[in-house]
Amino acid sequence: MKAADYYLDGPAPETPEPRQRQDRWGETRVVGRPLPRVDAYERVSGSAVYPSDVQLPGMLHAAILRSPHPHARVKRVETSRAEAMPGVRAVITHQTPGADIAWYTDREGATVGHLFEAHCRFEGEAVAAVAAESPYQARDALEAIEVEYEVLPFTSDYETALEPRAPAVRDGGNRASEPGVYERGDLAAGFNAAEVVVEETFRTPCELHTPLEPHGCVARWDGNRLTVWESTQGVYPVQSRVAQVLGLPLANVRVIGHYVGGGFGSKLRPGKYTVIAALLARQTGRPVRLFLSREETLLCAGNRPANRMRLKVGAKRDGTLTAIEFHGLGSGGAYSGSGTGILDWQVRDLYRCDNVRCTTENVYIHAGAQRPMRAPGHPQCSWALEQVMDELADRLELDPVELRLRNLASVSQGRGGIPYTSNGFRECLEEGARTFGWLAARSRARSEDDLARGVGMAGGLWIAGAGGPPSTAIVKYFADGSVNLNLGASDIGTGTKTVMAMVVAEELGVPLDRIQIEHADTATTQFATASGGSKTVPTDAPAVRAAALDCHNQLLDMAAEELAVAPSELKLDGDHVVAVGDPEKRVALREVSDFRRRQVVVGIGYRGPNPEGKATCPFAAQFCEVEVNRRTGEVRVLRFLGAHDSGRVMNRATYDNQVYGGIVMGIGLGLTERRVLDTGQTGKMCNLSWHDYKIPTALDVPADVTSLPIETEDVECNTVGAKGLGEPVTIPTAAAIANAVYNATGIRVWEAPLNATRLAELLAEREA
Amino acid sequence: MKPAPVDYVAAGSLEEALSLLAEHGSDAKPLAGGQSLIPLLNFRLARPTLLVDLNGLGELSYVRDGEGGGLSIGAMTRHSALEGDPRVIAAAPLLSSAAGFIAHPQIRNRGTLGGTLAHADPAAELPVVSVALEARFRIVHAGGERWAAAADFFVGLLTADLQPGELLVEVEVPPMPPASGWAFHELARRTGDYAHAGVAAVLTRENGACSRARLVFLSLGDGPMRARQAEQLLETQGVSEATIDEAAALAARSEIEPSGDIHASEAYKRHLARVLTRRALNEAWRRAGGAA
Ligand SMILES: Cc1cc2nc3c(=O)[nH]c(=O)nc-3n(C[C@H](O)[C@H](O)[C@H](O)COP(=O)(O)OP(=O)(O)OC[C@H]3O[C@@H](n4cnc5c(N)ncnc54)[C@H](O)[C@@H]3O)c2cc1C
Repeated sequence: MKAADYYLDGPAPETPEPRQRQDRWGETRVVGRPLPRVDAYERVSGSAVYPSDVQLPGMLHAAILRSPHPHARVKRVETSRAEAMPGVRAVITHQTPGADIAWYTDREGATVGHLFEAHCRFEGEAVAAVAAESPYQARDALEAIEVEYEVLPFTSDYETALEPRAPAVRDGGNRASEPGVYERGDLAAGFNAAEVVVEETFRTPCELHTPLEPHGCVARWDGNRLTVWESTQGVYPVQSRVAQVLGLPLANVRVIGHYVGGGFGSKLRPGKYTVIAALLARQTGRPVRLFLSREETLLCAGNRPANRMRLKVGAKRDGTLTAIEFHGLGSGGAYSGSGTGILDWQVRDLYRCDNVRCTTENVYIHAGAQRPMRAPGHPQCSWALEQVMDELADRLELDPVELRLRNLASVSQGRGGIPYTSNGFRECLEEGARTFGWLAARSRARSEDDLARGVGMAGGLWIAGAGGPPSTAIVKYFADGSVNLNLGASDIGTGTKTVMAMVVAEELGVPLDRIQIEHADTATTQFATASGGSKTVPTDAPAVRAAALDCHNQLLDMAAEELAVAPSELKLDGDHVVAVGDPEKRVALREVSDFRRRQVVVGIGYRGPNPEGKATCPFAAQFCEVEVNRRTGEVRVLRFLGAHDSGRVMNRATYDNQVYGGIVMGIGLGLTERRVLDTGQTGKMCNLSWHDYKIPTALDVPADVTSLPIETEDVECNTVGAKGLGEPVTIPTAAAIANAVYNATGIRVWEAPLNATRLAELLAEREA
Repeated sequence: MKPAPVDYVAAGSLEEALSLLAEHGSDAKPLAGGQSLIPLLNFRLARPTLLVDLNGLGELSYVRDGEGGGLSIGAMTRHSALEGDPRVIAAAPLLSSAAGFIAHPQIRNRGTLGGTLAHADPAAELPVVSVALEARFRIVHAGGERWAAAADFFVGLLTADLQPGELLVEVEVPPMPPASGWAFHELARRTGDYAHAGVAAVLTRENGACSRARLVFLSLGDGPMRARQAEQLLETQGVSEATIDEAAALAARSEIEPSGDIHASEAYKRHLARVLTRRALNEAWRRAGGAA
């Protein structure tokens, strides 16, 4: 399995080989520096126009009526009262001509759910939609739609979904697919050879993406041409789905992304809202704005599935792993069969072990569909694997860092033993421990009154690090030496635009403030895959570099004629071209006659293929110190260090931002976040607000967070040497906290989030 | 979310506010800081037809010296003012300290003393403090006024002793007796969250003994929960490590009515009540000049 498969619908199309020779960068002038974002002013001043800011003349406001029940049949929908209300311009349901659209399909391509569903399989399933002159009138109209539901029994606990008495979510029952099996070596022999065995069951919660900007769009028709301003991680996936569903040529669907207020994987594809807005706009002949409410985003815009994992690991006295057995269970909700997507990857790939068996099972429940969430599967797996490694170290009386060092893998075992293009896991562990002061912190006195201190660490890797084709970028070099960079990728807040501009500046010597960026617009930029999977920099930066080099080469060719010197003897020097051997031979670019006649040089860059037979992964090790109140079970995270091998650091400031953000998100998984469904009485979500779905705030995370880049040189992964960063940074965090709590208290908590209630109970039990 | 249609009047004077409220009865709601009322409207859980906005009534926002060292505080005084006002910090440190536990700065800059008392949320800090300090409330309606004691004012879950047409306009906080110490402790999952459990304590020391004890809990029942038996135990048996333990255990066992929720079980809340009470009594007694 490749991570790309997880994010894309089909095989990735290839772009042509780049035509330019791209030597490895030596010293860089711009790339790597901690430069401020090119759009910092727009973002902090409020002048950046996010899709939810878009206001068009005559724009209507839409809202969606959703099933309040996790499982119900719509017997009757009566819309006449709503239609007659002031300001209401359209009401659509599954009975509206043109709105009976198939939305969810199974693996065989059969329709299993519609845009508006008469058989509602989760709380939040769309039943009807309205467009009105004001958002208030739209909400009022929703209340006036009368729906008669036949409320049906539900299944909302994934752990019991396969029991015979559990109500079926789909016609074929609740098993989503045959269990997935991965096997290598001889498991029984491996456990026979083991001198210590640790076996435990772990649970991680269902987490929600909760980006600051809700999901939604503004849609406008001009004749048979549709323009959509969408809050998205990828304008092209939105374009293709909308075009397919509405039967339009791709060229007639323009999707504009520009800014996006966070996505974390939940905005990789369009939502029903995109198509509903387009239908309402077509019916009313007016632009329509449809953004979900916060509550809707929590119910039906994706989640990280909850997982139950059983993990059994055998090892020799010296710490060498002999066998690993993993079983994972999860649910992608009612409409996704993927509750355990790439859940077992680190078991297969992170530590050297010859005998491995992983099984995964997926079930349906009556809940909203999952969507990939920052490093799908990996933080969950880490919660199990890294706690077991910690426990093993404890039983073997080995330092946890040392145990991991004794089990480093030299090849990618999960991919049949092919080599990595680079592997800095050892350095992450060793240098991370050194910088954190691991040995000293572990030996420090632990407790004082009710407060106990402890330190913990965890390692990790992310399945995909190289990025890959396709990507096409265009660089236009204008007569005055200013540049327009044109690329299709979205900047999801990670600093994509800044990094890409720095690549151009590196190759062409143009200052950043002379570079303008055109991006994330299907009408004016080139095809790009969605920004996700930690692959935006490794995918698009090589294409941008190729485009800049294409410009560079064309400029030298023109100057070569002017100076009568071979292009290979020339170099760019600011806004001049000079002969390498003879600085007297120079010409200002604006004086190059060929360039003067054309006024612009257009460079096109393609992303070449990845090396064959090699794997590229980012590696990570994180360390933390916590303080546990032994009476109340409160856990305070005092400090964190993230040591990350993501290859080249493209911009130290945006790099560190990713590390901080990933750790904050991991603290949420470890300590506070979980979706709670009322599995007993109603099947509905109990914490449908930011009040009760608890994301750590700035005051709940440590100020003391250190980012330690382990900048391994990777000359093979791609032409800029950067591996993915955005996801690995959140993989080991929660497990490191659990291990630190154990170090402080001697108590292991196998279920995330690490709940103060449970910890206090365990502490009290032990004291009694 | 968006509220249902509602009319709005910015009252220009207290008289105007009172006459509008009298005219519209239970269909009207006074709007103070809006930090509870606006969410209720947006979720469409409350559907008044008229909002009478009190924010223009500067005359309801003040802190004045009251009788015998106490304070008189106007209903529209913001939580952030209580937190930072030197007179409140000096004369009613329990009040200013507890105000700092309410939510986040943005909310404290809008939320008002009158609003939180009228809203009577069992998880709110200031109702509990008002009971512990034996505050009195001046309540007016078109053509009259009355006084209510904090102890009688909170009648049930989100229910205060206020009739349609009535406004709480002033809070009178009596001075703490001499040689008194106070403490406020609570525990929430995140900074600024409503607490799983919390407690306010006031202890008065006379000749080494405890002459008066006040112990009131938040988030552990339908309203402020006063632990009278625990108070009595301290008043009759004095304050020592042993009596503090005993009082904490007694209060946690039989003087609160917590219910479990998705964030904390009932047992955990009782456990917290006990831990927090011990902390609070120790601290209050130290502040009163004693040593447990
Ligand atoms: C995210 C968030 C977190 C919060 N966390 C906490 C917390 O931890 N602790 C806490 O205590 N509170 C918390 N609050 C609530 C906040 O303290 C409110 O300010 C307070 O509960 C109500 O005060 P208000 O002035 O905003 O009143 P409003 O919301 O304006 O009014 C509340 C109610 O009181 C009535 N009312 C208002 N003033 C008067 C008056 N003078 N006379 C009669 N009736 C009146 C209104 O009609 C309404 O019914 C939180 C609020 C939010 C939004």
